[in-house]
Amino acid sequence: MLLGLMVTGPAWSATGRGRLAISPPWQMFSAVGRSHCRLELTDSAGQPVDRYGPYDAVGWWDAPEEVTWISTPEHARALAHSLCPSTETSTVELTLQCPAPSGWGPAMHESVTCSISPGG
Amino acid sequence: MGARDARERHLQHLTGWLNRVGPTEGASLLRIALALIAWAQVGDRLSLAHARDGWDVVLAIAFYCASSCMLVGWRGRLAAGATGLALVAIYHHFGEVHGIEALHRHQSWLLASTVLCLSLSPCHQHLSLDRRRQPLPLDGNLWGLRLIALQLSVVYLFGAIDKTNPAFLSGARLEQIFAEHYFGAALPEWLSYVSAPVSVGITIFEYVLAIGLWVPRLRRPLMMLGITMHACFFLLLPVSTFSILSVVLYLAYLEPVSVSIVCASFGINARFGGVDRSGLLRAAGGTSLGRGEGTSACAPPASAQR
Repeated sequence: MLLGLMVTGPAWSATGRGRLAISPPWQMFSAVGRSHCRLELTDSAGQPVDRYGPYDAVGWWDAPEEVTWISTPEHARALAHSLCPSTETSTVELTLQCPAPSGWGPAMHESVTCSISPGG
Repeated sequence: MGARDARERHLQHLTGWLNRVGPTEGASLLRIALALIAWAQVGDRLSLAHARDGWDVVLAIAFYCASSCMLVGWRGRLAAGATGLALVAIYHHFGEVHGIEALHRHQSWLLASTVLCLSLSPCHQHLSLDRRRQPLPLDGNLWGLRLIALQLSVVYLFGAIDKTNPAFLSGARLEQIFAEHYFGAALPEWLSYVSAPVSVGITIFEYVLAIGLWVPRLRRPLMMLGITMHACFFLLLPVSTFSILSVVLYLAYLEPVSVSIVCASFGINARFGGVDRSGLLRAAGGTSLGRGEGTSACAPPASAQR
């Protein structure tokens, strides 16, 4: 019986129905990638804004961490503000989606006016 | 009365299936591989330089003593049991109590439970100091290997069940995982086209692996595909030892005679174990491997044979 629990116990834990002393819950893929959002940045004409160039980066692989990974709306707004000097439009449009239990959460659309400096 | 007979017949069938007797080279190979994987998985964290309390020191010393004996096969079966218990204790102590996530993942439990299962089979009979010290039988009860295979199937099955939800099947979870490890917030457009089919494919394939690895006709192609899948995981994602552990555990599904034949074809038996498998090779049509005669030529003195 002990062996049966050992072999099949993780299944019980994996379904999230309970917790056995001999077979604590496993951490499979459920915890990975839950903290980073996806962010699209466009100018007022709908053209993508280059988020890496102003930071002397070619792509995500050599960009600063604060440019590559976005976790909160505030973080996304700050990045949009920081890109204003390199764009020729008055606003930067951002579309932010963060992880939710069902996949991606609802998209948040916002216009960042470039006349306001990042510090407010 | 009829129902009782049927129940007893089923029980006998199950017991017979579980209590398979056969060559134990596969168990011995698993013993060595699992000891090395255990070092790779928990070795760094168990360095005494990281010890925070007395239990850390005790567990580290116990683990390294037991796993070293397991690796070289000195009291190999006992050492495997001790290593398995040490791994369970490490899982609880470091993972649960200290909250070290790296030692609390599913592969940590999988490793601990498979090492414990391995100790139920004679994994010390080949490639071991035990065999050098005394003549040992060539065959043994391999029910531990059955349990290991069952364990891996359970992992595949519930890994697939864990993924059977809209978040994963829509591809969103895969995108989030790749966002975390590669692209960050700027996900490329092509990822949205491939993530959903790949997610569905992985989930279906894990269901198929959970069952199909038990079907002899499907075993070889599924193992090839499974190894490819795990190689991709290993290459693309920080899955630690999970991929190599899963692939190594495929040994538990293989027919013991087949493993023995392959070992013989590499001359492993003759060199380390003092075993003449020429009879076995002939019985299993081993000449098709083209190396049976070589094994026979390497056969040790009769005194070392059973």
